[in-house]
Amino acid sequence: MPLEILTIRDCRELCPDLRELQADSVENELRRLSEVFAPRIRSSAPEQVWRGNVSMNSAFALNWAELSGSRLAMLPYESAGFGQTAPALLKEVNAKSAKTTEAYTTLVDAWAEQVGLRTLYQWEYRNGRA
Amino acid sequence: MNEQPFSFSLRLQDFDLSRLPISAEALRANADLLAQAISQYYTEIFRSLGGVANVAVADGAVHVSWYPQTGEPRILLFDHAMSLLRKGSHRQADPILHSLHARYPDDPQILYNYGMMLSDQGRLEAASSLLGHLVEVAPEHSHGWTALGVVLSRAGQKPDALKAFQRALQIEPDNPYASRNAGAIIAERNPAEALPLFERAAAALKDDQQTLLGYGTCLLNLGRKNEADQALTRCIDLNPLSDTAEQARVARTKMAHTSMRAAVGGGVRPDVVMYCFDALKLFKEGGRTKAGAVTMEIAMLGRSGLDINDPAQKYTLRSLPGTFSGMRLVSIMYAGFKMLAPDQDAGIDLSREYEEAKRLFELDKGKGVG
Repeated sequence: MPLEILTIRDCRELCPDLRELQADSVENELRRLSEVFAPRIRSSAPEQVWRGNVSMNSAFALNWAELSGSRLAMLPYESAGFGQTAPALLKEVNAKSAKTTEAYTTLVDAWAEQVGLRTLYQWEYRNGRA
Repeated sequence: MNEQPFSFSLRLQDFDLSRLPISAEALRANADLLAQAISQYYTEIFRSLGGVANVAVADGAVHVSWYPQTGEPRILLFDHAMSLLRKGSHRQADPILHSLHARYPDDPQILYNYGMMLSDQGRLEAASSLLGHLVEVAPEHSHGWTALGVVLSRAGQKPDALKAFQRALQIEPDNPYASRNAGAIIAERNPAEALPLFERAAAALKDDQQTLLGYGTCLLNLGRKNEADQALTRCIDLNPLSDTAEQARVARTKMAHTSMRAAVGGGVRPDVVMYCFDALKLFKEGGRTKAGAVTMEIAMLGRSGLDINDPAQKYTLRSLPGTFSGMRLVSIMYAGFKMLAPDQDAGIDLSREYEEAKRLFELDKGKGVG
């Protein structure tokens, strides 16, 4: 998700001719992500996983709201009480946006800490470092 | 501030939820969120146009009033939507046309332009509904019938589409777009019957690629190759990088291929065998790098059309010295594709000549070893 946010920013800046296509694509993704608010998903997902997922989605939505100038994408997240989570996660993206593997893994860890999912994974590097 | 607002109301249940970047299922499950999202949608659209926008949701409907700073709201909105369409900004034009349609559901100008836009976006059901309504409220709208025919044709409903084009031609016999589109459908079963329609369209739309493609293909099917070639070449020249130009290229290649085979009674052409043989030798000496450079240069040159029926050596390459005939270049390109990307369609079938050339090439290699 953080990588997707960075890529969306790059595409918006570097390929202005693709903005309409990009808007279609990102809005499709936002529709898909916000399916987590549908009762059938809300009721079946474990609370911790649901909250972690929605928190990350809210940062994705806020990023697009800031880029596009439209608040629409943020409405379901604000309505569900994630209005403060999104800026906190996006702040981490802004602080660790260098395009290096180290910056990226640090960013993922920061997000995982914030949404309480840090214990669910560990890094395994292809060059053998643990 | 203009005192006459642009106002309309829309039932929430009639709002197309796919306009919002939020899951429709989530919206349907939360009435407050739904009302808030639709209200925000219209607020953002009209505030971006300047003036004052009031949006409220009540009694299961959204009520929108927009007061522009100056001017007549309908004209301002329509002109703005047209300007966006001309720039190709369908995404921005869409909500404005949608709002205009909500306020003026029987306005022919709005029905026509909104319907055409939806048709071009492939939203055929919605386009068909609007254009069908247009020809009900304005039954003499020749362009409306034509646009409806295009939607029906795109939806695969060819007999109904043809009826719509024919109705347009009854109203306006010189409508070139109706002629062109009617011609395209009729040509599938009877090119001779379609030809006069294409001739009329081509006389009026001299710079229209679709018309020239249809006209050229029709002429080709009638065996009038020289005229077909002229129309297809013109079609390509108008915009060489378009999809339509690509279709014209395919048609020209098929035509050239047919002529090429006919020249030897359908058999193997020995000159092509030798050209392929020379190419195989050249690529063996120069390797894949040389083969790639030569093949790609010929492929690019071929986008403007290579005349394979003229034996004159009128082409030159930067990657290879000398002058070449069209057939020789196509043969070299064919051999190059076989070496570099054997699954790629070279656009012409020289497989029999190439196989014979390969056989000779292997024999030749065998001699060298011995």
